[in-house]
Amino acid sequence: MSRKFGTGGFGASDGHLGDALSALLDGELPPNQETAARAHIAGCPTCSHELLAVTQARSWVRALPPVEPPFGLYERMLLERPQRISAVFDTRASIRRRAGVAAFGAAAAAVTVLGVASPSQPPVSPAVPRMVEAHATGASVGADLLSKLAPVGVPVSFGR
Amino acid sequence: MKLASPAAVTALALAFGLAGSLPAAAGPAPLERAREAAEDTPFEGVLQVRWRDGAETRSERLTVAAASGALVVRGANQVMARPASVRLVSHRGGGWEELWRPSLTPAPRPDGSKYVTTEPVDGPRVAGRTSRVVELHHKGRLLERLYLDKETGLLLQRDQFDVSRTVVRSLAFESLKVGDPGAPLADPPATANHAPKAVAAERLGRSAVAPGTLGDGYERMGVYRDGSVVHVLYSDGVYDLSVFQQPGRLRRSDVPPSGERVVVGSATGWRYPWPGGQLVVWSSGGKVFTAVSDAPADQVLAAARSMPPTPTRELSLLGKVRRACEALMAPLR
Repeated sequence: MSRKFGTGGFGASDGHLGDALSALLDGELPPNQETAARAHIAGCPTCSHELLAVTQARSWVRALPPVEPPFGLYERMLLERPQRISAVFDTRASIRRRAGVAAFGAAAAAVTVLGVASPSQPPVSPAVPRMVEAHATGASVGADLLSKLAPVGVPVSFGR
Repeated sequence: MKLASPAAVTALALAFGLAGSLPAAAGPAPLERAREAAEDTPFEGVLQVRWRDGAETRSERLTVAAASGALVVRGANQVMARPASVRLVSHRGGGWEELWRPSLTPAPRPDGSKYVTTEPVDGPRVAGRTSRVVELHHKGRLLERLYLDKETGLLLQRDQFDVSRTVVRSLAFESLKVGDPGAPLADPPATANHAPKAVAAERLGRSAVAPGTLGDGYERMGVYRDGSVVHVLYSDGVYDLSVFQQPGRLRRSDVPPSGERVVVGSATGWRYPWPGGQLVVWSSGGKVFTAVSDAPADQVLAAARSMPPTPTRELSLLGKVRRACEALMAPLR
């Protein structure tokens, strides 16, 4: 029998992993929860199938090509005269139709921005050499200069 | 029976690590005298830096010169300290960058009273100079052995030990000439300003956490910002510890593979040695933390683990898509 997961507020209330599956794929679970999640998946067909589905959905979303605006769109927006714009919106029906299209466009943009474009914090690689220098120079104020500053003469490297 | 001479007794005490049993005093007064000597004494010499990197011991030689309150370290990088807290760095022969300026002067250090220093005893000759030896202890454990120039108080050698009393980091003069170094230290030509900006801890909001104290007696001395990176500087009176915070998350592929895996709170982190100490990198609550310090490894980890937990947890990708879809469908219901 699979072990129930999610005591830390992650998994779904039915004892399955729910949103924690996506966090697991993103590598965002702490080590102990990751171990527990993998143990649960090993014995739970439901979560195992959902993990496969989420993995496939992620690959589809990430494989989508970027949407480019039609050629010349920005130039036309900038150069269009006000009277021409008012001529386009000359009837109430046209205004309602255009408003509907604009609302749908705004909603789609919201989905893109909120849901897909920023799925989580971006990964960063800390600028360690700069941080070491900032630390040593700041720490050397009011301290023994030799002890604090001399190590900065050696460039930081970790044998990558 | 002939009694042993005081010098022989001292040498035996040092050889068997018994100097800690000699009369001791609270606080790092010898380090304060070394600081004053480095600022007041003109000298030049060759300094060897050694540090343990996994199973390997690495070392580099640097030339050091000081005069009129200024000090220059020359290696692959050059570092310059000028009076009034100006600090400059040059990388591999490039231009000078100003990394610290007088307006950033941190708060005074704590008194370091958590440490116990032994009374100075005669030590061996280091770089041809007569030394006096002082040990630094914390909770009964030997942390450092300092070799100070008997004549000037200048630091000649500094060894840091791990829990098994093995030297893990060392600075030692190989040669040293005390006195006027001749040509004055040249002022650097035009410098680029890369110094951070000082900020008040109370004004950080949710962008960073900067508690007033960290584990094992580290007290906050200053908070600085450089772009999206917040730098909080701490000290316990002997060692200093910086915590850098920036928005984002850490992937294993973004850190060097040589790190030792450690646990910081509920997060996984990685620890690395650098020539001046230890650093630990970890990610929590949508932020990436980097702690840099010259303190022993266990103190750095204890301080990192005492950082308060970051309050919010980012939704996963699936959670964000669900939330956005619900927002989109709500008006149509």
